[in-house]
Amino acid sequence: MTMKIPDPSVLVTVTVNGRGLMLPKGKNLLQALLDVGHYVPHYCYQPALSVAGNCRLCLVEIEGRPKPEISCNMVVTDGLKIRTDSELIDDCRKGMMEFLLMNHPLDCPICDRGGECMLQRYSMEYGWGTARTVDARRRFVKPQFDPLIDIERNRCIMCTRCVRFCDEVGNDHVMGVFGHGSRNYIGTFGNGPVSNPFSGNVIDLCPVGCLTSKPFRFEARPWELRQTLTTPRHANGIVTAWTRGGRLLRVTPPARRRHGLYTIDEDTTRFISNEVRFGSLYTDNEDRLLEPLARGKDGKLVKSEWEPALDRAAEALKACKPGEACFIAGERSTNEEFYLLGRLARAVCHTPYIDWRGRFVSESAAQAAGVALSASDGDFDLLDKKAYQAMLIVAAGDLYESAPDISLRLREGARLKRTRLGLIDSRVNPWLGDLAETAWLEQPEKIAATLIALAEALEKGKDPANAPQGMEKLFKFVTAEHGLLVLGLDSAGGAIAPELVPAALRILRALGVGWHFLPVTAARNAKGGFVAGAQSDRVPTGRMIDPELRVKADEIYGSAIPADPSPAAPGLLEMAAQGKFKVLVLHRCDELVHHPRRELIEKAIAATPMVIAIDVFPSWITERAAIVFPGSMFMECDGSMTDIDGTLQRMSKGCRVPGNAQEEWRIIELLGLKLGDTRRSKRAHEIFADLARAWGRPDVTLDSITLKQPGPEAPQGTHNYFGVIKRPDFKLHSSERPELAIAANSNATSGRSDLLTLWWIQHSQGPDHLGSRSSQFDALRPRPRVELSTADAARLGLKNNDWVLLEGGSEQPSQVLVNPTLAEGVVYGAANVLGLRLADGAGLPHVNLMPADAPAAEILEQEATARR
Amino acid sequence: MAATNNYEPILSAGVTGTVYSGRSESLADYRAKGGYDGLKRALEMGPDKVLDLIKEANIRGRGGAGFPAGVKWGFIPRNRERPHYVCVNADESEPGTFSNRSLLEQRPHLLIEGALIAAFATLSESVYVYIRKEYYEATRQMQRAIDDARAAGLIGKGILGSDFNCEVAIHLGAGAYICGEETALIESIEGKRGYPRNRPPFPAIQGLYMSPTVVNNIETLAIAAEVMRRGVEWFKGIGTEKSPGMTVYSISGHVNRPGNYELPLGVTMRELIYDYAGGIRDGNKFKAVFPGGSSVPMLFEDELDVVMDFDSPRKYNTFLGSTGIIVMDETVCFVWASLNLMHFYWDESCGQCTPCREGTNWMYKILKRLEAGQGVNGDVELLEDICGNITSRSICALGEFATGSLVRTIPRFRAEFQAHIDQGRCPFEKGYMRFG
Repeated sequence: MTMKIPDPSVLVTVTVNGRGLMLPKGKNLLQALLDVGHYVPHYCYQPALSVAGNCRLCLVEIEGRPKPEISCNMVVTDGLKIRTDSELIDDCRKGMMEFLLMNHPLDCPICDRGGECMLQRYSMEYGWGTARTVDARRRFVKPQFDPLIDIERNRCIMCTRCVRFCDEVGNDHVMGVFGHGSRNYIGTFGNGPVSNPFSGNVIDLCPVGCLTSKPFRFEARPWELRQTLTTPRHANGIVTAWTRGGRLLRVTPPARRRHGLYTIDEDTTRFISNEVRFGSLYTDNEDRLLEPLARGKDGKLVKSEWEPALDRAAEALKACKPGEACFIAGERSTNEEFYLLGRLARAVCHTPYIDWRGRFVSESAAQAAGVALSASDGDFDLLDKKAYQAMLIVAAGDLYESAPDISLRLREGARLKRTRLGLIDSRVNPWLGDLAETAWLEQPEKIAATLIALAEALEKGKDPANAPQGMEKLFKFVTAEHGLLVLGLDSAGGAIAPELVPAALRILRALGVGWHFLPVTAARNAKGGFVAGAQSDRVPTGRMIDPELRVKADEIYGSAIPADPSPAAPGLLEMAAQGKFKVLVLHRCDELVHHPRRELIEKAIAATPMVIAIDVFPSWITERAAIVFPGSMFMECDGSMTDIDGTLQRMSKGCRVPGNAQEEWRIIELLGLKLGDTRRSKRAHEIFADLARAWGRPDVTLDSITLKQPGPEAPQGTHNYFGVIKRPDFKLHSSERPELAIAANSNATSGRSDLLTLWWIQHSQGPDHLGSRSSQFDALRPRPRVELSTADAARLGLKNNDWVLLEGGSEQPSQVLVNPTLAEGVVYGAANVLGLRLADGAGLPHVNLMPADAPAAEILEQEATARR
Repeated sequence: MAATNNYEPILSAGVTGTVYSGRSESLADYRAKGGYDGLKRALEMGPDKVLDLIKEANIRGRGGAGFPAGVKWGFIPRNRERPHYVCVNADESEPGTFSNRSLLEQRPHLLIEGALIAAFATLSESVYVYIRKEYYEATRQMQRAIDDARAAGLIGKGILGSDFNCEVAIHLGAGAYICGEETALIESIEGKRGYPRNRPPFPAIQGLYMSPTVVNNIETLAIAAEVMRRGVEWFKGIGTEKSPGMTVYSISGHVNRPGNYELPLGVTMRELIYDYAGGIRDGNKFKAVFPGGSSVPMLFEDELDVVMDFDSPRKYNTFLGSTGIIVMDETVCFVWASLNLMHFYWDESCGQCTPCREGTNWMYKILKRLEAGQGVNGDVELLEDICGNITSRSICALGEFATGSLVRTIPRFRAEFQAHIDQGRCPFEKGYMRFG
């Protein structure tokens, strides 16, 4: 059942305080009033959450009704006459404020929320000046249930925003109201942590100081902080970074201006993941590189000055013949860095070897990803503003773990009932699955075949009679007139991408012009690498390098570029491992640090005489490099990033680069200068201008990139608590589910009966070159865990929490989680958490599950302590 | 007394006492009295005609609001796009109300018949009987009656040879007063916290499991069964013009003969207290009475001639409510009585919305101080003000109910409240009245 969505374009007249206002018909009255700037106080109403109607602060007087009514539970209708300024409403608000403050402690001076607290604000605006109560205030004991969220129950006003957020956005029924009457309180079931990857948002949503951030606790008062609207280095989206004295103290969704001050926006609809909120706090880490390092004659890396280090690097590059230097750009580089690296490689060093796709395990996977990115519409607001009839998500359910911020934006449309959701995946994540209309569970190898079967049927026409056997529901779903096809590129390191991408493009053609295409990957600036010229076969317009475009490419760089074809990053690493290069430049290759093909990368570094690394933290890569240049952190660098949907995001500088470190674009330019390039920019803006000119958009400047992203719109009408939690008509369509052959049967050549296909991801909260440097990350780190389908677990005699080893994959024991919505013959895990090692990148890896002993009790205890 | 002198109980025919008497009407007994004839007649008439008949009879809801049952049933969409539900509200928890208990224990088949008729008229195939957990014997008898009826083909598929299918299931409450509120009852059946819902949407459109739902008190359904059997004319001949029919008054408190009295609507309060309940105990003087459970404002000496139907008490700003009449004599201290009741509402407020959660808590604290002799000047006015801040601003009516013992009492007996402050103690002899 879909909710009837009224047409918001119809405006009707509503009389507010005797003044006529044109408001969209059918919209939530409170939201409509807020949208036109008519402020009505509210606590429990949050635009992204269902209506609870329990704070009773948004009462308005309605002509013809005997009692005041809450405006958050009303819709705009024609001829409505309301009053928000009458004596009665004044009295209502005063009364409610008095009730709310009656048991609220007067601890504003030591409350973290003080200064941006809605209770403070409303009591100034709507409350009494004095207290009439002489009775003792209610007091609760203070529990500790989450490593990152602090709770002070005495301050709670029971708006239940946090409960609704976890239920609806997090799909994680972990917070709840306990007790009853005036003794009720907020808590978590079993006193456990709030475990969803978006849990940090409850801190912002809390209108009072009940839920506060532990890392930020007692660190600063909000009015001492400087706000910078920026985009994180390691995840999509925009955030406000709050700094004091050049130190990053907290990261929140975009702040809002109120009374001349920026404060937390508790009515935000743009939620951020814990990966961004807590994982961005790595800037405090003391490990960071602050001086250039160079390998001395004794073979040790020692501190160096910039000049000699740059000279040595330039010398080595100068000595290279064309094609003897290789540049690999990390996926978290800014657009400007990508552009400069491409220019340095192609126009200055005359080598075609530059690429960003180190994340993928094989050359063919990386190439397929490149093809997919080129086929995407690159349409701004692809996710937030457009309403699609249908959204088909293929092999991208894992983004919940690997890139929760993208995943959240995919899901919001379906949650707010603006689109219907269909899934084709090897693992149906309940987070998406609970909202899906149809879910098709398939083994990884066969997802492409499923798409082709659908495409073949669609090519015959959208008549339901054409539906392939058993796929009627899925077929009906894709016959929607307009929709969005979301294709996951990097599950299992892209191992299935070579088959999947052509299949997706074929079905896209068959779906017709109404359908858009969005390839998704957890790589932060994948789209930027593609459009800013750091992809082996693309110039900075995202166009293919070919003889016809040679002239254009030369124009962009102002110099001739080599026309030889270049492999992608995995291919480049293979070449390097064969000793083909004299110099290997690794620019912030975060994704290589915890890469499952570490053996190959080690070989590539060992076989190259000169490895130059630009990085912010030491890693095994920088330890083996000949020269290391220290780069800049989040908040220390200007530039732009491109979100996966093509939205250009501004990365703003809010702090000075400490020590002897430099902004990366400056390092690359300095290196270019030494090599005879003439380019010397004062600010990143100049580089962006070049890039914009290449894109044919000279009007866009770095400063003009609008960071105003309104986020998903509030839903129409009043959406009630009991309607949103779960759609009662969803179930996994087991009737549609084809016979799943167990991998072992199809894999007769291996001769082993229990080989399972390994379907892996890089977990966003697992070991990460940047994120896990955050002091808060230990608490978030997931436990080593592999998931098995129910049938496989039964076949192998394994049950939940059994310890196993992935023979042929990882040497670290992990625990089994039986997942009923995982395809048979598949084992699912996070590569960086398990410490996965792959010998080659050919196809999907197969592993054997061996029972293992549980790690020693002390180790487990140690880990548990860290998490607490 | 004259008009109602020779009234023979219909609903509570054969019901003895207020406490379980060991006698529950069996299916055979009930059928011998013409039981399930109403259902048979309904099945012959078809749902639309049944609905018209109930509408014509103007059966006003006995749960307290007095909303006509026929109109309520008429709100249910006349299609079967989604399943419809009938919820029977047997969560009788109002202080001073105990009439449903006897009916549940001793005449379960009457209720089942009424529920089946309601289900038939609203195109529903499922009936949930929500019984409060403490009514153990009632639950047992109800379950037995359901089993018997199912065995006799009165519940299940093809009832009485028609194509009407209906299942009846008991759902036990978990001890919350608030679950007697219809939307909280629905939430409770869904397995959630018993939180009342905001309206709109109304249960008739989106109730149980987001489907059209009818929630009726058991007495309403029992009357519907009788109306189907005996006809509208018979029913309209009883009671007053605007409030036809009968109801069971539960009289308790300081009277000589407390108990359940089934009488036509239209009897006066004075008749109920002095003629039926035998007057005030020990020859004491009457002080005040709750006419409809503890949730409605009190009536005083000069107002006793009010006719106890759905409309007349409104002129004193009070209601017939759940017809639980609590009589208080001159020994009762209003502060003490209010404190007792406020403890109940403070304890039973679900805590969902601000005014009720904080208001009951605050008033309870103030009354506790007053009764202990620690009141301060201004407390009485503060209580009045808090009552005003709660009334009609909460999600459900519980907040307003909590003010029932105060809104009419303080203006009339301000001196008694003030005396607690001035004397620094309760001026009443306590003796047997203890509150803890």
